[in-house]
Amino acid sequence: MLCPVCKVDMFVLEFEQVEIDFCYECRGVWLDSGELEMIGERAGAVRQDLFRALETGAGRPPKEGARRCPVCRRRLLEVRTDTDPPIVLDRCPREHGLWFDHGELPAVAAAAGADHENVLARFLDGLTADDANASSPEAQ
Amino acid sequence: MWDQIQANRRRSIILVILMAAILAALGYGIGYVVDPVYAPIGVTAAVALWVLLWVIAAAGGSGLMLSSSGARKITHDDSPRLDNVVEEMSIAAGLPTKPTVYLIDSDAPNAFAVGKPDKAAVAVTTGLLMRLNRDELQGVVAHEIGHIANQDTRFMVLAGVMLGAIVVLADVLWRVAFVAGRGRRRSSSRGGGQAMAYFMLVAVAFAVLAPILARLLYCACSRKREYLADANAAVFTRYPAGLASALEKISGKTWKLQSANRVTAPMYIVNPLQGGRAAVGLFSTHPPTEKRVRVLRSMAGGAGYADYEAAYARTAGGGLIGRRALHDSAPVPMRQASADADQDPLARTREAVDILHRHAGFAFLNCACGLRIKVPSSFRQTQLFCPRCSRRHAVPEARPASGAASQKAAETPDASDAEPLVFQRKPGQWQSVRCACGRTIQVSPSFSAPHIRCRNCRRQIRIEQG
Repeated sequence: MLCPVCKVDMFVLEFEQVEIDFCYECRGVWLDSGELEMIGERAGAVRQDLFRALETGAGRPPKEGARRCPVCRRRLLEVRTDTDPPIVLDRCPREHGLWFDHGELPAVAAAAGADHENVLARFLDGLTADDANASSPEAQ
Repeated sequence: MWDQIQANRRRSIILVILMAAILAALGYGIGYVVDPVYAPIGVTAAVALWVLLWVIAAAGGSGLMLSSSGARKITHDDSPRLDNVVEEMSIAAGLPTKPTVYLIDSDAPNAFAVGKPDKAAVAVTTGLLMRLNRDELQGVVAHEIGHIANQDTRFMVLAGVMLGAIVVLADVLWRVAFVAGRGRRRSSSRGGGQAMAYFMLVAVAFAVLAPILARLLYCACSRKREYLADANAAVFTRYPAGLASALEKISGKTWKLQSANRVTAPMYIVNPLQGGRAAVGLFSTHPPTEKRVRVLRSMAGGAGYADYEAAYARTAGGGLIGRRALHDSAPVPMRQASADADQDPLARTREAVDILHRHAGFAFLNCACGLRIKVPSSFRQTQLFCPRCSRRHAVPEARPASGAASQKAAETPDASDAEPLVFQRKPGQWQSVRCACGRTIQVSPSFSAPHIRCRNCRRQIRIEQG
């Protein structure tokens, strides 16, 4: 699957039986439809309604840019969380999945009240931590 | 068992004869409408068309069906669970050889079989592999193997091709009758116009009815065979509840299989195009799933053909296999659910997805922090950092035997006679190795040969057991 932002093949990361698509370039994450709810449940999130709203709620076309769904190549729509301030994510119009830019996935997990001691929640945090970037060849 | 195939075969022969009669009548009609002296030529041409289509279907049918559905051949190492189940069931069915196993990348759970008993293939979708436990998977595979053992796979291709030929010829007759009818009107001063007009009416009516009739015959036969394969599955697995629960799971949600079409639909375990709807009539190739489940669930006492027949009579009414065929069928005791029935569904999903990723050329890396990294084949760097713990990993590469000095030689595009490549392998697990040309090669746990050849650049890579 191609990263909607960098248009390169994404990595697949598997941790604690959960699998996510991860762009090694921009460190964004793609979750197939239903995966967010599953991850949220296993990370001890209390606000499952937030995930459901993101996966199936109304979206609107973005003002600029053409990020495309890695599954069907259709233009992704913008969806927002009902938190303050809202987190803006990209979702496939055919509900194939959600795209999280660098740092957005832990933010959404935190907004949904994910347990910070949970191993999966820590994994999501760790994925986008800055020290991971610091040792990569691009940063040197 | 043998009797049952015999009874089935008799019915099939009657069906083929009936369809052949329709086919010949259509040919005769077309010839007669053009000119009464051409009638025998019409019959010959119709039969020739059918034989031609049949030869094409028989020669390339299985391969065509598999390639049009995007099926990938898988080995024992890919999915030991599926491979073992296919092996067990083909032994239970007494097939001379184990069918080849294929996997289709689709979330819709479904399965089909093609080929003849000594050279068959069973294909299942990833959705099926993910959702069904061992007992259910065994039920579905046993049903498909039942189709192979009953020669349904071959027969349905034959009948399907005949149906196709009838549809085409009915269309031709319709057009020819129309054109000829207009031509005659102008020269109707000639005698015999009255008889010709009557014939024309009959021909037109026949052109409309023939495909309908043929499809009715075909579908009735197809539905009966589904029940028979269910009975086979009960006997082979000795556990009818497995298939019943699999059918419930498959039909529980509306799934539509992208790669199926109206021609290939009768081959699947449940109709892939109907998406679980209960719409079933005379033109369905599959019986309603609830009815099949009800028959399987109401089997009591044993898992033999007689028990299936009794359950069928109770729930659906009427007979299926026939008393004569059941006469010498041995009683089959029912078994208990297998111990690993409640295997972790997530582990099953991982298994199915891993197969797809391996076939897509992902290189698998296990980081010490517990993260499994699957690197896409287009990733060109030789090392990467774990996104979780920042550990450095080398992309598993086959290296030139004589060290870094010959690195340049390996990079030249056509290096079939260049430095031999070496790969240090850890035995007992799947391993990915990247050839110098960039292609990822998957080495299975049971691979034991000293060399492996890259399918892309034909380089030979020496495998050293590490």
